Amino acid sequence: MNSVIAFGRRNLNIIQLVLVVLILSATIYSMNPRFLSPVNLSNLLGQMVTLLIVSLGMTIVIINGEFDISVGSMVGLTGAVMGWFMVAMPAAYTTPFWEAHPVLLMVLGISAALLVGPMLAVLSGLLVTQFLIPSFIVTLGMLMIARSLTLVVTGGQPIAGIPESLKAFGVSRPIEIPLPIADVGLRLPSIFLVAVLVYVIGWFVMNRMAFGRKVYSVGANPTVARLAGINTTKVKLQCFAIVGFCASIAGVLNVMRIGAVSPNSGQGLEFEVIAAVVIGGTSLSGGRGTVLGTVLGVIIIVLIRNFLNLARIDIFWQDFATGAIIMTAVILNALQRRVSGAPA
Amino acid sequence: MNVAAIKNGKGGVMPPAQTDTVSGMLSASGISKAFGATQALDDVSIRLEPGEIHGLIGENGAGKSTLVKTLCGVHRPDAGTIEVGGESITGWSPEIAIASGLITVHQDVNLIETMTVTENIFLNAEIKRGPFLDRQAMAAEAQQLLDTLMLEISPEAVLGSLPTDLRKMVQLARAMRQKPRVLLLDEPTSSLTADEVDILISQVKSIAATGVSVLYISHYLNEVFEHTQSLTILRDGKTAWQGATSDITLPEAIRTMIGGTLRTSQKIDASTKQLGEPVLKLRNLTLGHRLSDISFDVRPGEILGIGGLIGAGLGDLARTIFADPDYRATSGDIMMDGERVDWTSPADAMGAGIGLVTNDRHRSGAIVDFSIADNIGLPSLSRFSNKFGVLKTTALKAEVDDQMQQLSVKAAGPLAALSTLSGGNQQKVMLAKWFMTNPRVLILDEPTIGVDIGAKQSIKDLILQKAAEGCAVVILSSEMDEIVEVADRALILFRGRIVARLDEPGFTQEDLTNAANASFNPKISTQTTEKSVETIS
Repeated sequence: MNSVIAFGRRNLNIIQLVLVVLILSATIYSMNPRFLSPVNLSNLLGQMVTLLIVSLGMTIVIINGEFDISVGSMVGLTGAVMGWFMVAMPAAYTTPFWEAHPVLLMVLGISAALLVGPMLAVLSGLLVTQFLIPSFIVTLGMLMIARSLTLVVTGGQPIAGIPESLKAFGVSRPIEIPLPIADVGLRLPSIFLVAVLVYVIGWFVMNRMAFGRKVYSVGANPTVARLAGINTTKVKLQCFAIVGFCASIAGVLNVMRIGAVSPNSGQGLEFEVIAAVVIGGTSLSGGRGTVLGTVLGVIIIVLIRNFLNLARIDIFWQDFATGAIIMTAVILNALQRRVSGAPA
Repeated sequence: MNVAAIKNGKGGVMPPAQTDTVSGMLSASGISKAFGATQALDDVSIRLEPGEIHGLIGENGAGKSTLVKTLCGVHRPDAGTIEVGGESITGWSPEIAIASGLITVHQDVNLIETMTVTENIFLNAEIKRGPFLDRQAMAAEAQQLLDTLMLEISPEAVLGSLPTDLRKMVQLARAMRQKPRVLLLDEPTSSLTADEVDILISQVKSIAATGVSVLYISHYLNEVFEHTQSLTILRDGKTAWQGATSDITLPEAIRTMIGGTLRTSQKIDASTKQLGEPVLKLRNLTLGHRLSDISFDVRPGEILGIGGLIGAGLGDLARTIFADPDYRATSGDIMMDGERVDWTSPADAMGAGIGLVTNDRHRSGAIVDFSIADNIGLPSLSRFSNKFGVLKTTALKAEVDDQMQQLSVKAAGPLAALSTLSGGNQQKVMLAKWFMTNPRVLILDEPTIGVDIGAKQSIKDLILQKAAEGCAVVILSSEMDEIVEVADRALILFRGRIVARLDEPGFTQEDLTNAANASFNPKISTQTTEKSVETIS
């Protein structure tokens, strides 16, 4: 019994978030029973992939005591680079070689796209750690640079003509989970399974690897970390690489899901990401937060969006509601810390 | 409560030192203050006549800072009254204290680095013409204040561009602007060089000559003895001695401060120790102006005590040896096993077998949000992870459990947050953290700071035990009784230099305290072999 209470106390935040998810789900269900239909749930899962994966990277970098607000632009630029390699480049430099090796072209495009995020994020990290500039400012600059590059690479136009196999993967739903409440089961999208895999790795890294301890300690108190022999600069750069990589994975999956490259994809994503991370209980001052909390934060953001649509709230008022909910979440976290006596 | 002083100050351009003839006089009587079960102050009374400089001394924890904080309105006393100029103060807040003419110059320079000297002097007491700042009037008054204090700095200089001593002087100028009737100086010289101390003291004397009463709190007993007319010695929150400074000698004052009774040490007789070759050697280690020419050896199984007052540079020395990048030695050598090393980060020092328990648990030692296990494991992460970086959590937890038992850490378990532990137990966790790295040399910087007597004793036992296991221990402490109890040999640091070496066992707390007040010509006991006592004044 005592261990149950201790578990509850340690995971108070998670328990609260689960309750919020349940309450929100029940409310939405009561408004529209179709909410819990396998088709709707499956769609929701597919739509939340981008937000999920980017939020994981953001959680890690915020726990580390830094910030990366360029993630939305990075999602866009990743897609643009992928589109350029797969569509624009072969079109401009038609060679028999590329026509003969479509798979190689795909691998090249995806690999290049996956490198974009980490490279630019590490560049941000270098500016932050070497010149001691706040990461907020550095990544604000990177946000604008990456968005501009996206427009340059795409020419401001959507790129169609993504290989069919990738599009097919983007919309495939290979696994079906039988549900007790419906005749048809819940079909899990492939890209959602990728997100699950990314989260499993992320959770393992943050909770079962030495690196995770380093990330937390550098964020909580860099002096303590440094005097424990931890190379704080290296850890920070690694965290930037991770958030960039997450943005690139999300960018690639996003292109696969939509089936085309849009020059505007990822615009404004950073706000939802930070909202999800903060609602998930991660402290903006670093050192405190959980991967699981972020999953729940993302789910809450998606549910709220769904709820506002179903409740036919005027689109102009929707951000108002989201903003108010973020503030409430942060205030509740702060109050909770004050009550438990932990330092803010 | 007297608010006239501060009202007069508004808009006035004449420096108070020349025009203000209000007699400063402080009378605090029967001040008591308890924090939980600890009686920090017990019926303490102090009376200052106009123009008097009164010294306040005592060991760490004797109640000096509690008394200062009570006088300047930070703490509300449980009992007692404070009168300034015959009028009693009825409320407790820093604003009320300042309004009554009780002005404090705190130990830390608490000014704003990005502002100019003038802006700092007038911060929150700006001269205005209507709604606008009267910059000319402020510049003129600032210049006059600086002239009075004989400071050759521009009122337009940005504070951050000034050296530490001048910042201290600006702090003094700001205090003067506030028209003090009583000036509280809390460790005014701890960050200053000898020359700077002379300048500051002559300024303080000229301020006192205008009728301001000065309460001078300092660890530097020789300064107190030279420059004060009367003296209060606190011990364990009580007044241990009070009277004219000329009525007591410095050695008597030291005995009064430490209580005369020396605890018997339980350490192993150094002569029976089998000591090998030195594991760590320092040769002429220098850190800018903060440390000069530090040389010593320490052998496996030996405990070397390094004593010094606050501001002597103990913490700087610890960080310099540990290769903290912010404390990079400017010259000198560190040698391990006779070989010169060139460490560039704490990781290098740790790799060679050094461990460091820092002097400030909250800033540089503990992560209070973390569990005990996470805190203890932090420097040992590489030992407890496989080649892919996956933590061996079971092995780590088992060893943390083991350490917690050996050090008898009282906690709900290894997963309890550090913040739930008492100060003493938190400090034990800090020790455990470094014990678990199996260090060959353990550097302990103020290892018993902020812990209660019981925990202090068990921490000292642990230190002795660690040395008995063959670890070389360097203990840096401003609490001399601690060094007497555990150290085989001792060094005394004074303003960044070694001023005394006590190489033979049998030195006493008095020897150490005398040596730490180096410019008082100390009669170090005859057991001292190497009397490299320098007089710095």
